[in-house]
Amino acid sequence: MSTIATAVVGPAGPSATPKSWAALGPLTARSLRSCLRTPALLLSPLLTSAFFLIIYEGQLSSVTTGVAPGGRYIDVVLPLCLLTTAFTGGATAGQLLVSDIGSGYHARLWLTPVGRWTLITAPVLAGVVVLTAQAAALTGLGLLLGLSPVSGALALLALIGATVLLGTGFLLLAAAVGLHTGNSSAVGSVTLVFFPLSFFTATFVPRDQLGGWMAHAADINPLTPPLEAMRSLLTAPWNEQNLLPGALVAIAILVVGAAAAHLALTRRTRTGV
Amino acid sequence: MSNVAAPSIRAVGLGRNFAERTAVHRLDLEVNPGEVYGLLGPNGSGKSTTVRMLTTMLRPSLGTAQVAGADITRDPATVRRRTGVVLQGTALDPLMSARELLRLQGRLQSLTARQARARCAELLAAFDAQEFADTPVGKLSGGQRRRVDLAVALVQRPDVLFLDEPTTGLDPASRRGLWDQIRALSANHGVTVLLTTQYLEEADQLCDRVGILRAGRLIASAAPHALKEQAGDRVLTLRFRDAFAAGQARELLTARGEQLHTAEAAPHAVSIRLARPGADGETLLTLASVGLHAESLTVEEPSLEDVFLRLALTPEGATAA
Ligand SMILES: Nc1ncnc2c1ncn2[C@@H]1O[C@H](COP(=O)(O)OP(=O)(O)OP(=O)(O)O)[C@@H](O)[C@H]1O
Ligand SMILES: [Mg+2]
Repeated sequence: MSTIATAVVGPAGPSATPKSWAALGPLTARSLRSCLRTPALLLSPLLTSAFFLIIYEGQLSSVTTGVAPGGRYIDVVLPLCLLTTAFTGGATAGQLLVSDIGSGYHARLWLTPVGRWTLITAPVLAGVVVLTAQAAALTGLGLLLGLSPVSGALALLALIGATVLLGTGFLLLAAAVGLHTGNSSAVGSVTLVFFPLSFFTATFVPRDQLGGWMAHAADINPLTPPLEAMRSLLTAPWNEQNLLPGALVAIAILVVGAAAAHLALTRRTRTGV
Repeated sequence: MSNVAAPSIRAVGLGRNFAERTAVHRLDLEVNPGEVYGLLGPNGSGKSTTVRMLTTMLRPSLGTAQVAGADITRDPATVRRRTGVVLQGTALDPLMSARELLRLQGRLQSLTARQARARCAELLAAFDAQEFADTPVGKLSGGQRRRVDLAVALVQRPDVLFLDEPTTGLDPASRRGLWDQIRALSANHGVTVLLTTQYLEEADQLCDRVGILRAGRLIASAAPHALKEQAGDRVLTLRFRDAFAAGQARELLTARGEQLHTAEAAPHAVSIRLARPGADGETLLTLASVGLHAESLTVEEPSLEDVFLRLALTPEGATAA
């Protein structure tokens, strides 16, 4: 057993203060690998949204000719599916944390000298990468179904960017819930809160074609502005005025998510792992 | 190396309360550099809670502690850099391979990518883990996983190593292998080891000193042989040809004022407590001088188990002197 002893210790290691930023790269890469090894995490939000995109477009576009100003129903329904992807895909970071807490590996990471904020930031960054890929794939599917935005490729990039911006807020929220509870169903409930909300809005028609109580529900629904902003990217020439309310809502969700993540980290530091 | 004498682990009045219970009461503990210290205690006595506080996983409710020269609450990052930890139950991502785990651990301990690769290769070789280095650890056997777990804890060449029940669930051969590794770390490289265990034999064989925890209190802390001496006298048992010879021996010894140990029930055997060193030889000479020769003899040392049963398992109110 002397081999063990000679190899495992020896001159004391470097006593440099570890740089948390430097650890973020390897940790994020590791979270991404975990996503790739858990295909359900990667594919189920994408397949669900793609399924709805195809069904809604196929069934509703014929009965709703005229609802979309430019005449294309895909402009109405693709933003809806991207919104759904943002919060279903947003659960990724939370699920990654929950499985690490379950396996005990989270505790081992917690015992390394890196700043603990990296332990929540890494899965969120991995989620951002995954969400970008999901949004791009869905937009690609939209193109196959006849999408052609008035302001061209720029609008498509902005659409993907908007999905990711909105999704980052959800990623942070889900990560906070995952860290706080260590429970996969609790993380899933973040999605469950937003899923019904996506129906109490101008789900299948533009906002100005809603009437009655549904119009009031849409007015107070926080998901209406981002949805309308994403639609305007496809149907109208580039116009910041259309985008601003949606961007503000996305930033508000981001801020709430970041605050929740910070609280969850602080609490976990206090109560211990 | 100027402060060689400073203990590697020093806890002063360290305690932790949970909502309804106090898991650890004002613990005072010192472990010297290169020492292997064992914490023994029944389930729920606070072993893991103590380890979790000393490794900065859990904040103490009261008291302070220094580990590897750094304060666990004021400078936890230094503690985490200088200590390696193997937690109770494996703490590894089942989807990652040993190689991935070791390299990532290296990066998190501020090695460069190249250094982390080199360190990983070194540890895989040392732990004889090359042939399963790329298998997801979820598919390894319990013993192989333990080896990976220990290798991961050693990536940063720690000064202090914490092992929470490291050999639970291992077969006897793997257990002995791990003991050898722990001994080598401490003896050849001065690594300080604090381990918890349920196995008294393990504490006896491996530890320089042993602490016994009962309901969150450290009720004894000494070298295993010192604890055993406290537990009671050695017992000499002599077996004679027949009950008659045994009866003669009994009479003679009682007359000499020896303490007969009554637990021995066999009619042709005599047991006496050996209170003084050398008492066994004197006894034999005394008997031989009158022509009484024992056919066989055994000397029983009190085991750590006796100590443990007496100290740790007696209810809290009853004092174990
Ligand atoms: N997070 C927690 N919340 C509440 N109580 C806890 C917590 N962790 C431990 N305890 C309690 O503290 C006491 C000591 O637990 P600890 O895990 O330290 O015991 P142990 O000696 O390691 O036991 P075992 O041999 O079973 O591993 C137990 O009564 C346990 O229920
Ligand atoms: Mg324990």
